[in-house]
Parts: sequence; C-alpha cells; structure tokens
Amino acid sequence: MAKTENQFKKPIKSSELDPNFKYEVASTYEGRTILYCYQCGTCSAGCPVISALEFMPHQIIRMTLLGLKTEVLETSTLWLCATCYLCNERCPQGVEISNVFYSLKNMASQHNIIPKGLKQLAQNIYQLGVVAEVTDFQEEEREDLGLPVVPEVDLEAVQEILERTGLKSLLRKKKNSEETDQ
Amino acid sequence: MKYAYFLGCTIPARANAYDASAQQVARKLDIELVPIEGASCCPPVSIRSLNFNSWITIAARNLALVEKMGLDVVSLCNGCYETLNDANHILKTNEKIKEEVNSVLKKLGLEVTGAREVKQFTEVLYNDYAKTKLKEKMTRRLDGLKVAVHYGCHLLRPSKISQFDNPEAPRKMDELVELTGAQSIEWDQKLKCCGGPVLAVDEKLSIKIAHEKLVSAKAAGAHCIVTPCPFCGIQFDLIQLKVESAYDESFELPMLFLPQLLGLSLEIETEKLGFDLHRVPLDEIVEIILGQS
Repeated sequence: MAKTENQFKKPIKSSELDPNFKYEVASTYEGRTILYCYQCGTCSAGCPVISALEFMPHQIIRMTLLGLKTEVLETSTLWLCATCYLCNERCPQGVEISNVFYSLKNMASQHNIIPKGLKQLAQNIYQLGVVAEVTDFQEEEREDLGLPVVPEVDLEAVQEILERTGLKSLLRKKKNSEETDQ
Repeated sequence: MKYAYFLGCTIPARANAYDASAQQVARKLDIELVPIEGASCCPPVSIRSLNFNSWITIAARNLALVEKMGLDVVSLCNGCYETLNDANHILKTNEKIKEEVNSVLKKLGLEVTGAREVKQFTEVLYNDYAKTKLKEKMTRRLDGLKVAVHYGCHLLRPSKISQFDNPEAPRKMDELVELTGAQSIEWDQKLKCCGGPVLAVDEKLSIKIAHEKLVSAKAAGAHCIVTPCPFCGIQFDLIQLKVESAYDESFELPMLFLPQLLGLSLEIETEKLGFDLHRVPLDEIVEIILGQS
C-alpha cells in the first residue's frame, strides 16, 4: 500500500486534486480544526513515532488541504499515530491533529482500508462486547486474588448500537479493495 | 467516598495485579468501588479510528449506566479514562451529537446527559481526603527507593479534557510516590509515549520506543518504573522481555502499578498486591524495602 519515494515524487497536477477533500474533513467533528493549520511543523517535531512514518503529521495536514485524497487515505502513516495527543497539546493554532487523523481514518475505513489487527479488535467488540477477552485462566487468577467476577456485558445492547451506528457495516465489507497488511 | 468502578477489558484480561492492588488500597482508604452491571468495553481509540459514531455511542451507553447509579465513575485504565472523559466532554458541549446518541440509546431504554464526572484512580488518590488518609495510614517508609514515574499519555492529554495536571510538567503522581518516602527521579523520557498503542500495528516500532524508555530510566538510576496505566504497565513488564531479546541487552527493571507501590507503604502483603504475577520479578524491590526496616 505504501508508495515508494519515486512513485510519489512527481509534479502535483491540479486536475488530480480533490478541492473538496479539506471541507469534507472540516465538516466532521474530529476534523473541524484542520483549516487553521499554518504549517509550522510543531506537531512533527514532538511526534514519538516520526521515525516510522511515510509522511510527517504536518505533511498529512498539508496534503489534505491540497486535496491529495487518495495518497492521504492510503498511507500507513494514519494508522501509526500513537494517539499520545502531544501534537494537539503543542499546536499554536489549536489544530487537533490526532483528531484530524481519526477523521481521516474513519474515511479510509469507509473505503475499506483497515489494518487487519484493528478489524480483529472491531470483530471482538461486536462478538464479545470487549476487545480483550477474559479467559478461564484469568478468572481463576482473579479468584486467587480475591477479586470479584467480571460483570457480564450486555452484548445485545452493544450489538444493536454497532448495527445502528456503522461499525457493523464496516465488518461486513468484503475485501473488494486491497487491504493493508499492517 | 463511593464511585462507580469502570473495570474495562484490558485489566481483567491482562493486568489483574493492578485491580487487586487498587482494590486493597481503596479498602484501606474507605473508598467504595461499585461494579457497573452490563458495562461493555469503553471502547478504545482503535474503535474511534474506525467509526466515530460507534465509538461515542458505546461510550455514552457506559456513561448512561453510570448516571443511572447516581455516582461519578472512576477508572484504573488511562485508556478507558480518556475515552469516557472525552466522550462525556463532547456530550456536554455538543447538543447535536448528544441528540443523535440519545436517539440510539432511547431504543435501549437509556439516556445520557453528561452530568457525571469521570475520574482516573490516581486523581481520586490525589484529592485531599484520600491523600491525607494515605499519609496517616502509611506505616512503612520506602526510603532509598528510586522511582521513575511514568504518567501515561492519556492521564495528562488532551489537557483540555483531562485537566488532571500540567501536561508538560506534571507533579501530582510524583507527590503521591514521594509520600511513601521513595524518591521520584528525573529521567529525560519521562513524559514520552511508552510505545504500547502501536504494538498491534507495528511491533518493531513499539519495541524501539520501549527500549528508549528503559534505557533512559535505567541511566537515571531507577530501581523501578511506576505507572497508573495497564497498557504502559504491560509494555514495561511483559514487553521488556521482548526488548531485551531484540536489543540483546539486559534491563531487569521492574514495573509497579501505582497502587502496588502505595500498598507496600501501607504494609499490605505483597501476594495480595499481585506481586507474583509480574514477568520482571519484584524481588529486588521487596529486598530494598525490607532490607532497611
């Protein structure tokens, strides 16, 4: 999924840009601060996962503002965000970068670009009501420590919410487009 | 003091020592923790990344259950704390989102208002009542113990949501640690992410970040790392073994959850604090403390 440097380094043609992309992002709750960015790069300076990113955080913001929709939604960078919120904290313009990333990942998910590990977590929450299952072994461990039994999840309620709010339909999507291996 | 107790899923599945020690400490301080019947996963940021509406509605359902109990909610997990607190903040400040969420919850016979407060256990321990009581009941000094305090990102940030402490120079957890007589040391990676959140998408990167943290804590002379987050705890304990083999380096740097450290000072038996469940043994810590008393 990740582009090599040479593939990406080519002239940007205005005919290939989506001028509405930034407004699409800005219209979501998570992405509402994107238009304030003035490209100082403070977000990238403090990012703890910078060494592993295809694009730095301020580049993702700039690419989104330019309208490079496909490049943004397909990069693995979005999914490597540690959600530490350091960028939000330090942005002099009040851009909530981590939240803009949530918005972009929500859009990528709509295009069925979802890392396998996350799809599994989502499956877990639909099938079990939790992302990490408590096994008999851990229940025994809890008993030995004098801890109470873990309260039972109301799974029916969880499933109804996930069906009505969209997560279930993401899980139903067939692998019609390429899926990231990360 | 009485709170609805949001256990979450990572703690019972992977960090029962944290639950055990927190419940022991809470009992000593007469803090009652009431389980939330029917609660689900919080849910975590990974679900927020996939679908905002699903994330906030599941979180709102958990908050609605708490509101029905008429209590504020406390969580041990930094992740659950951030999710529930952030969702609560959005519901309080955005009428439109709240209406949409309630239209779904209504069908389940629930309603969310955002009226209750979400707290992290460390925050509860720091308030005047608990801190005074802690000080009174601490019968064993942990003098000589050097602690690398690790807050975990979501206890501090985003600070407009958390408001627990100064996000760039926090002191509150250091103060709690120092109540025991232990010394909170300065270490240059103190406020950096533990690498845990990327473990599921890029293990190598996660291990690299954990390595930097361990090197920094060790170089500063720490006997242990103390954290209030189960994810960070797993990263410093279980994942430390992976760091050691990946970098062919030995750290043997124990991790304690904050209530485990406080529990030592309250003279709660180490078995009850879950000391036997750690992958990096805590024997040396116990020796340092018992060796001097």
